[in-house]
Amino acid sequence: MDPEKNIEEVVDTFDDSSEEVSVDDFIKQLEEKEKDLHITVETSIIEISESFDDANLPEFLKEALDEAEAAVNKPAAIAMPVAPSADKTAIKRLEVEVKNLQATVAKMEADRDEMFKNSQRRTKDFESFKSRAERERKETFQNQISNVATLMLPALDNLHRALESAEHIPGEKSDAFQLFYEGIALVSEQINEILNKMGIKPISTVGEDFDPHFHEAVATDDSGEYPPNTICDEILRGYIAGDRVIRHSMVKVAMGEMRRPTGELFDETPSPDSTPEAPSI
Amino acid sequence: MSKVIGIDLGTTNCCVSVLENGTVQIISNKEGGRTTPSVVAFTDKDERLVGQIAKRQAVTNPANTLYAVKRLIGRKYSAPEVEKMRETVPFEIVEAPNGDAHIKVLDRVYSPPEISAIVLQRLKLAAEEFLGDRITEAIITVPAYFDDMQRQATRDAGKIAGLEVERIINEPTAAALAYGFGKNKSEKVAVYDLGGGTFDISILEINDGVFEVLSTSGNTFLGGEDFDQRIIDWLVAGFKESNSIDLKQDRLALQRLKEAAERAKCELSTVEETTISLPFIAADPTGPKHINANLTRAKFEELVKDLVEASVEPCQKALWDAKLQPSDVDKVILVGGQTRSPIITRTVTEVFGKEPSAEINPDEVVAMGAAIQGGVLTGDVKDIVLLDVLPLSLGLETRGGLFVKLINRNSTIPLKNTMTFTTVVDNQQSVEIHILQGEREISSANRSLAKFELVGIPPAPRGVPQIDVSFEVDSNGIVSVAATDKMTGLEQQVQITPSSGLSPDEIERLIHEAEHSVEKDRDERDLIQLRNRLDNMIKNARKAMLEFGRSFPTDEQIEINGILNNAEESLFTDDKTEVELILVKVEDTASRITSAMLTAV
Repeated sequence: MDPEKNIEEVVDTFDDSSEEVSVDDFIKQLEEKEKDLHITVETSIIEISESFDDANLPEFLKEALDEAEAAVNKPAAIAMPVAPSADKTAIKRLEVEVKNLQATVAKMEADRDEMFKNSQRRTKDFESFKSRAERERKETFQNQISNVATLMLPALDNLHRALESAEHIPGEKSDAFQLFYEGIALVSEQINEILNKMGIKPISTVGEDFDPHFHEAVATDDSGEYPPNTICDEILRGYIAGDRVIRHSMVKVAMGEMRRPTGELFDETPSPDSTPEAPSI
Repeated sequence: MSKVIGIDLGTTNCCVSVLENGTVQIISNKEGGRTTPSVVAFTDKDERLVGQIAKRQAVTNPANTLYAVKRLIGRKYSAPEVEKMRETVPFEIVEAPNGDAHIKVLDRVYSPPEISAIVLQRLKLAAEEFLGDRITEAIITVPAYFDDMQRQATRDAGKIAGLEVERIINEPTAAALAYGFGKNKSEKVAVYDLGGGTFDISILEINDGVFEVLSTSGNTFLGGEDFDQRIIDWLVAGFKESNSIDLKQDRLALQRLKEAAERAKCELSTVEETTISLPFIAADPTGPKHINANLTRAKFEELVKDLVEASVEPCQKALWDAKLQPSDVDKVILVGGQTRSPIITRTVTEVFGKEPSAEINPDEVVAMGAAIQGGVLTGDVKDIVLLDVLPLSLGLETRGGLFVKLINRNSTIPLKNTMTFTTVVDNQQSVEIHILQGEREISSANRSLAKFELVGIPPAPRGVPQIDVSFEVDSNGIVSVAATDKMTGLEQQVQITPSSGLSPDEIERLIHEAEHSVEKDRDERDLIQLRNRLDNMIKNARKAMLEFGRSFPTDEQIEINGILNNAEESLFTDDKTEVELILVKVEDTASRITSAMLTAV
C-alpha cells in the first residue's frame, strides 16, 4: 500500500467526565419542557383507536351513535342529554371484544391456510412415493436375481481363471488330468447356462468398440495392432440382465498409434513411486 | 413451493437428498448408487460423462477426465494447493486472464464452477426424476474453511446448473443439523470428518440457531484411500517375498488388489479377521500363483496406526484454537466412510474423552443436514432456525500492513458496522481503502476482496481528518463498503463482487449452454427409453407370432412380419420421431396379435 495513502484508526483521547450531565440538571430540563407543553397533574391523555372499523360496527352501537348524533344536531334550545359514563364504559368494552374477535378470526384463517398448504404438500409427497413404490415393486424380482448373480460372479471368475491357467500348464498332460479338466469345463458351461436362463448374459467385448456404459477400461494397448477405441482383451467378464448392467466388463482398450495416455491408473492418491508421464502428441 | 434439495458436493463423491414427509431421502443416481463420484469426462464424441461412467473410461482418456475439482474452485493458479495438484493430475490446469485456476479440456478452457455445475446438473436431474417435479432450489455444503471466493464460486456452479442456491452452509454444520442439534440448549460439538481423500475437524458452538464455527483444522491429503493403500502394500510385499513377483507391475493384479483391499478394510469394521482370496493373481514358469491371506483387525490397525495418529494433532490444534479443553466439548459426531473403522472410534474417544455419535450413515449425514435446512426454508421443518453467519472476519489494511477487523467472523447477518480512520502523513489528500477477509493480523496473509480510493481530502496535519468507513453485509452475504470524509461529506462506496471468478455475463452464457446440454441429455435418454420399449415389444410380438401366427391368413402374416422387420431396423436410428411412429405401428400390430390369441383360446 502507498504510504502516502495509508489510513489509521482514530484513538479517542477525550475525557468524557466533564461532559456528563448531572441528574439534577436533566430533571430541570424536563421541567422546563413540561411548562412549554402546559402539562399539569390534572392533564389526561386520550388514546384514539385508529383500527376501529366504522363499516363493521355492531347494531346496538350504531343505534347509540345515531342517537348521540341526533342529539348533537338538535337545535340549541333543546337541552342535550349527556351520555352516562356507564354507556361509555360498555362501548369501550365492546370495542375491545370486537378487536379480540377480529384477531382470533385472522389467526384461525392463517392456521387454516397453513393446514391446507401442509395437506397439499403431503398429498404430493404421497403421490410421488406411490409411483416410486410401484416402480420399485416391478423391478424387485429382477433386482433380486441380479443381486444373487452378483454374489456368485467372483466364484465363477475364479473358475474361469482356473480353466485358463490349466491351458497354460506346460508339458504333456496326463489322460486323468485331461478328463478332470474337461469335467470342470462342463461345470463351467452348466453355470453359464443357468445364468442364461435367469436372463443374465455376458457382455460382448473383444472386437467391439469400447463403451463405458458396459465396459470399464483398466489397461490400454498402444501397439497399433487394433483400431483405436477397440477392445483387444477381456480381463474380467461383465454381465447384463435385461437392460441393466450387473457388472461392467474389465477390458483392455487399443489406443492405436494416435494417443498414449499418461502412465498411471486413475487414482486420486498416486503412489509415491510413480510419476505421470507427459502425454505424447 | 417446490422442494429444496440438499447437496453434499464432496471432493471425491457427492450426495443429494430431500426432505419428504418429514423424513430425509437420499436420492440414488441412474446406476442405483446413493453417492456419485465427483468426476466429469469429455469425450471426442462431444459427450459429457458424469460419475461412475466417467471413472470407467478414465484410463483411456486421462487428459479429459477431471476429478477433485473442488480443490481448485475459487483458487488462484498460483495458490500452493493448485501447484500441488498440477504436479499429480493428468489433466491440464491453466491460468485464466484474471489469475484463477482453470482447466483445459480438448479445445476449450473451463472454470471449476462450470465443471462442478455439470455434476450438480446430474444430481438435479436425478432429484427431478425421483420426485416427479422440477427442482429449482438447493442448499449446497462447503468446508468450514472455504473463503468468500470459494463460496461464491460454488454458488456460481449452482446457478450454471439451473439451481438457485438458497444457502451455502458449512459441512460440519450440516452434519450437526442431521443429528438434531440446534433445537435445544447451548452445546459445543466437534465434527470429525474423514472422507475418501481429506480429513477435517471442526469445533462448533450452537446457541439458539446460531452455529458458530469456533475453529477448523485438518489435512487435505489424508483419507480412506490411504488406508486401502496400506493393505495393498502389505499384500504386495508378502507376495514378493514368497514368489519373487512384483504385483505392482501388473495393472490387472493391482486392480484386483485394490478392490480386495477395500473390501477387507470394510469387513474388518465388523469382524476381527478376514480372508483375502485372490486365486490366479499371477503366473510364472512354475505355474499359477494365488493369494490367500488372513488379515486380522489388529494387523490392519498396526498398518494404519500412523495415519490415524496423523489425525490427532489437527484435533488438538482445533481445541487449542477454540480455547477449549476436551472436557468442554459436549458431543462428537463422525462424518465420512472411513470413520466406520473401530480404530477411529477409539482414537476419537481418547482425544475427546467421550464416545462419538455415529448412528447416521457417515457417507450421507452431510447431505441429510443440507436437506433438513432445505426443509426449514420450505416450512417443512419448524423447530430449527439456522442463522446465517459470516464465515470469516472482514476488515481493512492499515498503516504498516496491519489488518483491522470491522466485522468479526460468526457475526449473524444482515449487519452493519462503522469505524473512524484518519491519515498518516501531513497533507494527505487521498486514502486507499483495501478490503480483506481473514483472521490473520497481517494484511498480506488475508484474502484481498476489493480496493478503492477516497480522494479530495482537504490538506491537514496527519491524524486530523476523520474518515468513517462502514461495512454492511445484507442477508444474501453481499458486502458493501463506504468511506466518508466527515469534513467535506465526500463519499466513495463499493459493493464487493469477487475480484476473481466469473462475471454475471459469463454466468448467464454458461447457464444457457448448460440448459442446452440438459435438453440434449433428456432427448438422448428419451430415445434410449423408446428404443428399449420398442425392442421389448418386438420380442414379445415375435414370440406371440410363433405360437399364434397361424391363425392369421398368409398375407397378413407376411405383413406383420414385415412390420416387425422394419421395426428392428429402426432400433439403430437416432431419429426420435421415427422411433415413436414405428412404436405406434408395432403397438397396433401387437393388439392384432393379442386379439388373435384371445380368439384362439
